Amino acid sequence: MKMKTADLGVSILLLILCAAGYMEAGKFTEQAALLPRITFLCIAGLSVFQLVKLVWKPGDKTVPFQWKRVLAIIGLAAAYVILIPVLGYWISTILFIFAAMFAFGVRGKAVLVCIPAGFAVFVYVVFVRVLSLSPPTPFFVQ
Amino acid sequence: MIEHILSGLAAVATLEHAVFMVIGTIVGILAGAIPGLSSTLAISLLVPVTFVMDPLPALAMLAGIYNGGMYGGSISSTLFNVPGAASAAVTAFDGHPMTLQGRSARALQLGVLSSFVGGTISVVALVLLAAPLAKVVLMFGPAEYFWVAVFGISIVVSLSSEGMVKGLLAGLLGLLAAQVGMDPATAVPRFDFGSVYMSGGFQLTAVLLGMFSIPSAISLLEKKTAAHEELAAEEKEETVRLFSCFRPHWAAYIRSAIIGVVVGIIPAAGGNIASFIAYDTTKKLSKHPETFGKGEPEGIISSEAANNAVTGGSFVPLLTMGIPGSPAAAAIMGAFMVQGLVLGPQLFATNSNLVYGLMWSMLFTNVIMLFAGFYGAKLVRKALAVDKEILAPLIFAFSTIGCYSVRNSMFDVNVMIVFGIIGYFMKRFGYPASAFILGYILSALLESNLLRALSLTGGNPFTALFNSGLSFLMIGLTVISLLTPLITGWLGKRNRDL
Repeated sequence: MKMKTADLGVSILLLILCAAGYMEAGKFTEQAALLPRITFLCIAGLSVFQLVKLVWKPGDKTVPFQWKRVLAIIGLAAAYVILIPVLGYWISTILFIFAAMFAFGVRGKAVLVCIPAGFAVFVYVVFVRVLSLSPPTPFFVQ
Repeated sequence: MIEHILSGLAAVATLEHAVFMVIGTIVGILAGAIPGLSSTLAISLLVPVTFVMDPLPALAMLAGIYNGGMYGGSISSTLFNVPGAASAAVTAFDGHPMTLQGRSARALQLGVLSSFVGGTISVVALVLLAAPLAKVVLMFGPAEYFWVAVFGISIVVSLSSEGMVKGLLAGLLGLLAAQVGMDPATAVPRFDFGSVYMSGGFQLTAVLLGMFSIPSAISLLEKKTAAHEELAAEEKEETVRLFSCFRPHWAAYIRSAIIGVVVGIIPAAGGNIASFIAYDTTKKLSKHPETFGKGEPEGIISSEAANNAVTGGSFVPLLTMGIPGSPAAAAIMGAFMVQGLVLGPQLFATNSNLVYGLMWSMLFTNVIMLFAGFYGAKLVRKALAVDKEILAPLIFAFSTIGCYSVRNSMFDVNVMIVFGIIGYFMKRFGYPASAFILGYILSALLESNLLRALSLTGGNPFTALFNSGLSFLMIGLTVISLLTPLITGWLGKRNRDL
């Protein structure tokens, strides 16, 4: 992706955000709206400045993206977070670590089994036994 | 005073104290290194345990956790770009690039030596300057605090390698993100879209892990490279002697430590702000500011010396006025209360052994931390030998449990993932996550003091904000901070043209 295209998109997105946010701030009391309004005005001003600069700025550079891999990582992370309340922390975490390692090329059976299990044991000892914290439980246990 | 100092030394010079100081320091280093945990959490969890202990060993152990925790945060920052604590976020700017260059052991050693120098200078300042410095802090009102926050925000200008506009935009977006939830003066809900979770705002740990650790994990997996090629494929052996790390950068150590002490004394400022200010100052004074963010040793030194110097600084208002200068100092205040000790000037008269014993404990735990960290660096860096296909999922999973554990909230985990995705794209397009975090951290300090100053003067901004010499001093520092990069850039361009 071209850096100029990205900056252009960011500037337009921020201008829309500022317009919507400024209007939303109108619903607050005067005190509560003061800093948000100042912040939106500053962001809008800088976005316009960036847009103007993009027109005058010569040259451009490409930001390389491995879209498939990035989307796969984000998808796996999202699935993990969605699964935690359903299956609980332990099952979800073991599944996530296993799936992520496998998806990105780890094939050693011992590694695929020992790393998730070892991580779960470590978290259990530090967070549950030592710090008395309770990881999320599955919905059917709550 | 000398006899009190010596009797304090005699009180801590026992095997029992030594054992508790070692335990405290190691627990602190581990708590600091694990994202989501912190020295504050570890101290809070151990305060009830101190009820059954004698006061001085208990406080010695907590001092060890405080010092060790401040340093521990730099380990995961340096190795994995995952700050173990908010105050270590700045360490990642140069620590992680050094790791990528195969200089992780050197980076870790610089981190622990700077932490030691910062911590030691802060203890000396605590002993010598506690009473006079406390009086200066009492002169800070809402207007002065507001200008301290503005000065902090001005630092974002120098944090962006892609230009001032991107740095400022990132800082302002951080400021905006912190405005979600109730406003600090009137508790009016803002930008919460009717959600109970959103009305409480975003938890700092969730935002911090989101902006730093998730983008790092995504970046690790993004490129299809050979195993752990990204992370120090070839670790360069650098034979380093303890004091050879100090001599070439002595000014950065001392200056950053002094900044840390001063910021530590100001209640509510803390190690994260200190490290940002020290980093910015060191960069501006450097002959090679362009090397910062690319593995510059002075970047690590300034951050770590400053955040560990906060430890002693934060004890100044705690011991002299009963006002904690940092969250960890507030947790230690709990230990004093558990022991039935009343903080304030009378403590020096009634329990001088305890006060000076605590100061000695801070000094000794710094020494323990130095040796554990310096000689353990080569051992710790072995974590880099793990393949990135294994490391990245572990960073995700570890960040998740660390984030969840702060307040047992899945909402925080969701926030972390969302900020992680935003942070990844910000990183790729040159909007610095560090500026975002700085804006986020300073938002509460800025807004609450702005509104307080305005309400004290009936809403007149001129009488509210321009009413003291200290305010003008902070304004002057802000102007210098904003103009320095512009002037140095202009001078550099002129020299090149000539």
